[in-house]
Amino acid sequence: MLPQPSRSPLLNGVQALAAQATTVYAGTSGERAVGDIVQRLRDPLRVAIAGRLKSGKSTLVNALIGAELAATDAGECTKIVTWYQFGPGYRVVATTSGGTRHQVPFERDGALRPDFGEIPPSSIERLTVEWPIPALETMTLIDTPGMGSLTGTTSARTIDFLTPDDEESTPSDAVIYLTRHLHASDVDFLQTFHEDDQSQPSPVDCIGVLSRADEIAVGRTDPLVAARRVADRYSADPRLRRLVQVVVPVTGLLAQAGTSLTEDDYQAFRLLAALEPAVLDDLLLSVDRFVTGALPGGPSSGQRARLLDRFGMYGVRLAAGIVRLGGATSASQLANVLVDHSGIGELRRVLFSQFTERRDLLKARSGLLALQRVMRTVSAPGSEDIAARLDQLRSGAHELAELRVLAALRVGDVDLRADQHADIERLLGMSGVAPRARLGLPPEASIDEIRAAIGDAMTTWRRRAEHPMASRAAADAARVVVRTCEGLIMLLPPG
Amino acid sequence: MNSTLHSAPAQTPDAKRLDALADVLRRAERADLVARLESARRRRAQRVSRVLVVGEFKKGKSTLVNALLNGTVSPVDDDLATARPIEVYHDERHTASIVLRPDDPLAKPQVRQITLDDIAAYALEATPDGEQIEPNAIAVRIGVPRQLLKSGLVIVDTPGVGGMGTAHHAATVGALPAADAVFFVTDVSQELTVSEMEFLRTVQSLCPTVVCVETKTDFYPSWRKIVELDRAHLRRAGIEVDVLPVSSTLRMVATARKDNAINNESGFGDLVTVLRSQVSDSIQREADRQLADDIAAIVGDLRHQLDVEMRAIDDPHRSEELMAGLAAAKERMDLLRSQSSRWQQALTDGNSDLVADVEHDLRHRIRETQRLAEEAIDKFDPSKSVWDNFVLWLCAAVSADVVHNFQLLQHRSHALAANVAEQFSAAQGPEVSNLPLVEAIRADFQANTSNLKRVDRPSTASQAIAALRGTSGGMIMFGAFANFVLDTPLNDSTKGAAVMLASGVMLGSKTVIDDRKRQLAMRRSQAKAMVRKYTDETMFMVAKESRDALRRMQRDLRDHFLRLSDELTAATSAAHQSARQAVQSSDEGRKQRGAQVQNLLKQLTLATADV
Repeated sequence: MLPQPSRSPLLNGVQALAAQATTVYAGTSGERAVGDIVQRLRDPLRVAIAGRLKSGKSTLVNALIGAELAATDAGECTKIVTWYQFGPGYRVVATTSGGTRHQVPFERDGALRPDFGEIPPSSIERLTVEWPIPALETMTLIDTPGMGSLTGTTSARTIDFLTPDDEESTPSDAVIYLTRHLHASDVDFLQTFHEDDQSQPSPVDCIGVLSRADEIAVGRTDPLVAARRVADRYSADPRLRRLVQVVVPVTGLLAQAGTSLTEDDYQAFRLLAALEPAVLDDLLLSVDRFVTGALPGGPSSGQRARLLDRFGMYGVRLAAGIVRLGGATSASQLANVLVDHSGIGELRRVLFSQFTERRDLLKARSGLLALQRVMRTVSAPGSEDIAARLDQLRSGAHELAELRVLAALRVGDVDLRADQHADIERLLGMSGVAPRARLGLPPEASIDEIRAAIGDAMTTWRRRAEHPMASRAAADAARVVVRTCEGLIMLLPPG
Repeated sequence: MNSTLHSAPAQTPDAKRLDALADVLRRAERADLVARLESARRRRAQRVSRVLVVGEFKKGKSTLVNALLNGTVSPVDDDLATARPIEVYHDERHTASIVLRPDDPLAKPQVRQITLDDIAAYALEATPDGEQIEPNAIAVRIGVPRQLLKSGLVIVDTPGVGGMGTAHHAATVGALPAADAVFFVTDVSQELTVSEMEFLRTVQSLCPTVVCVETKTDFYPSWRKIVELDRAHLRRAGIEVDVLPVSSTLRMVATARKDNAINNESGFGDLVTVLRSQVSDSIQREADRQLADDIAAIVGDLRHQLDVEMRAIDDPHRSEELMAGLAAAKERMDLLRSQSSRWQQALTDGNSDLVADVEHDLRHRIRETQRLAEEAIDKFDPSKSVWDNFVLWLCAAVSADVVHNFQLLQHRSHALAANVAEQFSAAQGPEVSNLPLVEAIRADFQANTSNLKRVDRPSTASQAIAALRGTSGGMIMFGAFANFVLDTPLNDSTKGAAVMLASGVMLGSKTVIDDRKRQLAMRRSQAKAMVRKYTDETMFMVAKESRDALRRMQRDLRDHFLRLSDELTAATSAAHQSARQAVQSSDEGRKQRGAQVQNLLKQLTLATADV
């Protein structure tokens, strides 16, 4: 067992800086902002779910949490930014403009239905849902209202989507961007990533999700195979590579239904699977056929309508097929198969290696950006000292240097050969920050193998750093890799 | 003088009867009328009803076409989209060909046969690493033996528009004037978006018959709610189009199982009814009426000649008056044909005004976009990743400019056709008023100008516009604009504005803006220079394409009206000549000729009875 990297010194540094800022800004207009930063550095990682209207954000939130909390509907649905965070009890808090917090009662019929009472919904800036569920312990999820199509006319489309030059402070530490299947030359294709004021895309903290994957190639080949093809193409698109690390296809509805599958659901699918094949085929032909009419020996019309509502047509077809072929003999087995099919597992893996493993770094980074913003806008006696220490921290932290190189690589600023690209991205932690992941070694690789791999990488990249023909950017990047390798050696037991 | 034919309901006379009529014309020694009859018949036979299937990317357009035609005709791929328009028409055998862009903008596009296996390669976009074959191909044509298409229906599957203001969108709008009807395809996975609504509005302004087809009703449980919401959206926006929910999947199952109940559920029954009643039948009825009108005019001309001759034979003493009237008419007809006639002037002047106005409009629009672009560049660093986004925005904005400019061109060229028609009608004096053709023109024109709801016969103006639609006006513009969809690298300027607009190649290459060494100010001025170069060249190319289109339009309009005046001249001089002969011949000769004319009139009546 390798020793785990200790808690990030960078995060410790940022926290110390924030503590100092608390004293300096006490009683000034920056007090509240600094207080928020201190809290934020302590809280779990904040992950925003962004994307166009109807791209399936709330469905994905439910799938990730593993419970149906966010309301989903055929029409436009989520209208208020909603934070789902871990809490000891069940609580819904509405924050109105001005920062006042009101705890509101709620009902739960499937999704959560808060009752705002006297509070006009338009004055609510944020809804916070506290729920004691393990999935939220490591990650706070922020569900955002859909941007785009129904709110602005295209002829008057402005150039507001141009992002500011410098990295900006945003309310979230990392972002999952959802997109439906779009054409690569579609204006909306990139626009999708620029309409959200919660975040700015950067390959360092963004993951793309090709959502509603079951709707691609409706009724033809296996839609998830087709979705995989599309997602791979997106992941390779140079314009998208600048914005997100990777694009993962996910069928949110299937994952949500899978995680909330009950014994009753399973029994209903068993009844369906027991029907004559021809009868079942006819039933599954269309949504109308599925829900209407009596079905001797099968689930009732109302039951079928509920199944359809929760699983979608693809989910119903898939589940009935699996049960019929004997692929699942209990509710929990069926749930597992469905969740497997949904692609949520892969998304969780990517989330873990990209966000959870690097949460200290991502939090430190957004904490630094937020502090910087306070420094810029409010000055107080002693704030210059903090600003200077902040600069020191920023330029000295090797983790941040790694992020900068990763971003530069994706933008295409570093002229390396294509085969070196994958190598350097991996070494810098793009596919996980654990030593074996960085070195591309299998989990069972021994310490000696790790040591040998580090040695090889160090030699190769040192040579590249010192190569007389290397451009400055390439040499800089190579030097950062060498330092990464040195850091990796320090993690190994002496020998 | 008006023959019964004029008021007869539209009906296609059968071939035998038309052959008999041609015989009579031949016996009357009117080769000009025989030729007119032939060309009218040819026009009728060639009249197709073109239905354009348009909509955004991945909404199931090709699948809809295939379901409608009961078989895989238009290639479908899960990821790759249709890149070129696919025209499907009736043929006894399954065949395929591609239409190639001609070098000379006034020439007809060439057609080349391809094998059925190659259809997908030509019709679909290239795989990301593959190369697009034959960049000069502007469309794919597929002939299939289908009952539905037998009446001359042509279904055109188009590349997805991919949002307002993109290159695909511009290409599709360019094709609209060539369409008799448009099926706008969307699906019931969500409500109509603002960009779809905008697009529908554009479609409605350029095409007479529009239907909104909403696909995938077998898959989305709340499809009824979405259809209701969409109908409400359209009503609120004042866009009057029918919404038809369908399921291509159900239709295909119905076909495979020969199951009528499933077919009814699929909604395709309604779709086919709309195709037949609102599109195919009405176009064909219109074409039948056109043929009936042409025949009426031909018969009327011959009858007029024979009537005049008969009068001269019956009463040679009063012939002087008759002859003078005929001579004056002939003179007027000659004038109508001359270069200096008013309608020719109106056409020439109107066209050069139009060229100037369209170009001015384009310049104005693109300059404005250019100004916005430069303002934007001042706000960001063009070396950053936002540049890609900026390029997309700029291409979209410029394409939208081109689309609006094109709408102006269409609108104004119709107005010009109407104006020329007015001049043409006004140029005919009372002397020829008894010619049925002229009478028809006048009646129509009056009906048209006084905005009467019901026009019995297409007016001169609308005939002229129809002539534009049927021939080059639409389809070649389509060809020109179809190049928008090709993602060909810009290696020579002859590829046209389209390619440039679509790819924005000039702007896309980030190596041009070197962000390492230069100052921000230098990067900005470099970016602005690139924007100017792009907008200038696009403007140049689009202006050239509009000029070409307007030249084609001018030629077509002139040909149309010259043909009309040729017909008038031939009719007038035939009447004049036979009357003169009658006056000059001996009593005996007159008597003999009188019997002949009586006989011809009888035959003519016979040939046109019950028509």
